[in-house]
Amino acid sequence: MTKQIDQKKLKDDLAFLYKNTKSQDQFRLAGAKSTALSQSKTEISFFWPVTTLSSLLLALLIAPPLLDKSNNQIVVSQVRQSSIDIINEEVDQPIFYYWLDVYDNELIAANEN
Amino acid sequence: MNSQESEIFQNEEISSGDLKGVVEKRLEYSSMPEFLNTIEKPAFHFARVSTSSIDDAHDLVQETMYKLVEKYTDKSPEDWKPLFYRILNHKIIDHYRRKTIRERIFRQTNFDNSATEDYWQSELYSGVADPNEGPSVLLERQERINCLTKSTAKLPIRQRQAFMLRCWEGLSTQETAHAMGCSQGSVKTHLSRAKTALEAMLGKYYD
Repeated sequence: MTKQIDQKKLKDDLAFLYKNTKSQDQFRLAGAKSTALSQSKTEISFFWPVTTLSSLLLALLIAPPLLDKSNNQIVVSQVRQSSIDIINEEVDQPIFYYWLDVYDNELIAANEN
Repeated sequence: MNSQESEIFQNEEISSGDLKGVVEKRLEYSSMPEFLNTIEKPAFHFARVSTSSIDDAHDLVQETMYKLVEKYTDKSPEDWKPLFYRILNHKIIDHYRRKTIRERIFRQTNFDNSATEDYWQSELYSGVADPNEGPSVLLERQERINCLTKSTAKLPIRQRQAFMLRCWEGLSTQETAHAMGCSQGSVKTHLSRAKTALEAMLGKYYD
């Protein structure tokens, strides 16, 4: 069976070890400590504000041409619809058929000659 | 559970106690410079034993100090110690990962394992512990400490963390669990296994 570790002896030895840390190690630790303590206070991160602003600007730059494109599509569809309406109106008028007859007669006469 | 394990767990119960009470009793610092003064040497030896390299230990301790001051100065002083060791543990694990990758790439490279050697090997001892201690007592103590650090370095990483945080640094089970990022039950298991392994290796020194 294994024996129990003597905690008091262990703590004494650790205190001894810490107390007798080599001088060059103490020097390096002091340097590390002063470097850590002398760092400037946590700087405010500008990452997210800058990213958000640049995204918005990019969106503003890209959006107008896209909006214009959609407006153009609306205008084209409106023109198409209006021309169809005009044709429908013309077809409904009797004069339209009159002129069709005239054209037909002229075509027949031309073929006979 | 045998008598030895039950004794270990009994000690756990006594020392874990109420976290606030424990912390209030032993808090020796109220500002960040004071805290770094108290933690620097234990942290260095903790990292030295964990990494088996004095230079790596210095780097890890410096990075940990820097991060603690940068991110957690505003936290309450009783949180600093567990947070410090939590950061240090993460950095040690990262160090192992990097080392494993380096070893895979450069198989023939020899890494510095000087920390596993005697810490006082190249330096004349200038003891300050007890003027009544004779040379033979000091020599015996050095031998014992070297054996302790070497044996601790041989433990698996989680067992070593649990043992060093609980027995070297005196953190409570709750604080150790926070520092290791695991449950208190896991801490107890790792500690029990570590103690069993160390008792077998260090029996003649710490009986």
